[in-house]
Amino acid sequence: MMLKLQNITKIFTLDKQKIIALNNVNFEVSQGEFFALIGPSGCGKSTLLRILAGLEPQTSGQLQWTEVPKIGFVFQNYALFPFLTVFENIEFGLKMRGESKDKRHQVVRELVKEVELSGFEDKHPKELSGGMKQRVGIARSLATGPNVLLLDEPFSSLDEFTAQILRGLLLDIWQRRKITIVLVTHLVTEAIELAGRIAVMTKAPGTIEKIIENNLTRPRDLRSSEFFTMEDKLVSLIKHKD
Amino acid sequence: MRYTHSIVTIRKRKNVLTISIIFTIFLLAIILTLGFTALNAQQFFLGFILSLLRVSVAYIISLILALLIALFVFSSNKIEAISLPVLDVLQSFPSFALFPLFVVWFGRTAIVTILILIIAMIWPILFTLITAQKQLRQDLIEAAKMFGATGNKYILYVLLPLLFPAIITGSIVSWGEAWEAIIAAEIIIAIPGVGTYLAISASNNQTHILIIGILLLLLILFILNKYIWLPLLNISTKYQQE
Repeated sequence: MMLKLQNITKIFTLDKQKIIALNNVNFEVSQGEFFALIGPSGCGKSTLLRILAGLEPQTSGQLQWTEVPKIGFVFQNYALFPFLTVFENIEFGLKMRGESKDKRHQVVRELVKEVELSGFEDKHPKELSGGMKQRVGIARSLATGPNVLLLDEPFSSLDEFTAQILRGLLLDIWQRRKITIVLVTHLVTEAIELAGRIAVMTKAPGTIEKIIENNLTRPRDLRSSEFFTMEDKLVSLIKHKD
Repeated sequence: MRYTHSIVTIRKRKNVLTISIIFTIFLLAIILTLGFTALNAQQFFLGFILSLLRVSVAYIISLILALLIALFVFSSNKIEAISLPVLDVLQSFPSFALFPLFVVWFGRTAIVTILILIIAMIWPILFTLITAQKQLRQDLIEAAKMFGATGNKYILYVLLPLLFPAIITGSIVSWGEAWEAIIAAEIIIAIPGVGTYLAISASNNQTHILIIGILLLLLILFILNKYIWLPLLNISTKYQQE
């Protein structure tokens, strides 16, 4: 086990009105697992991820890590620093930690190769395509050697062709580095293609509807009947209220 | 593409340089042929340099003060809620109302002009900073936090670079205000400077010196804008968030 959530509840106050974003969320994520959270927009999946990342406190409930989490975070809209080059963006976390220049350069050079950004090191984010930007986002999150990678809709701003390639890249990284991944997505197929377990969330208030084991053999064939069966199963679980 | 672009820039720069040189020669020619009667040329140019120096000193102080006040305002929501209305009132306070008080304290000295200048120059910088801070992308702030840029590191490595474009636009406006303020302030206190010399020439009916003075002022503004602010503005676009 890597992390355990117990009765996580999050209440926002908006114009003196209390909104229950998350209501008693419980689940566990194992070490090295690829875990996905899916659900319609507004179901609190991003909020949940942000609580895991420590970007937001929960109102009540407990978040337990079995080992000290070293978290890498990938943002939906990349959140790259516009004033830094690709190289400097990837290097950022290490620099903040006070790592030596040699160490930083060595790590970044390896990551640039791993996410296939060679030749783009000196470009600024503005000069890159969406797919390239998210490669930088992924590399930046890996630079500090995380044991948990949290991804918030990482491919939702990309076109489908690019997204498909980056999903492959993410799977490679997961298999090679054996890190724990929690992915938030609203795309059912994306969750099935990538995750080992998928938590389906319902909105108003945000709760876990069900957690589905996804044992399809890897590499997963997106056109197989098992894949479609799984998709049907998940879609039927997602209660979409407008 | 890039090659032709750089050629165009070089050509433009050359044009600007030629125009500046012709303009200066033209001015010198007028000065030499018409001569100065009440004022000698040396004094006149010294006046310009003195004024420019005062504006520069006032600018540096204003910039530092504006940054410090802005950082203080950003430090918590409560401080912001209290200080913004206060700053807004202070901002609309006419700086020349403090003139008599400053003269009582410091006499008819350059310190008074610099103080008046600071009061005129600080607000555009401060308010552009505050506005820009409100428009910062939330995910960039979170990314900074996520990758270890907290406290002073956040200010130095994330906040200031993100605010750099605002610092430049605020500075440009503040220099504009400064020229207006310094000419008025110098005329009132009657210490050597652009304003005073323009006033003297006007009262002596030396229209030609007045015209030369105005042209020289235009030249200085043109050079400052072309060689300092415009390049800085170009650099700052690189820092702009998307």
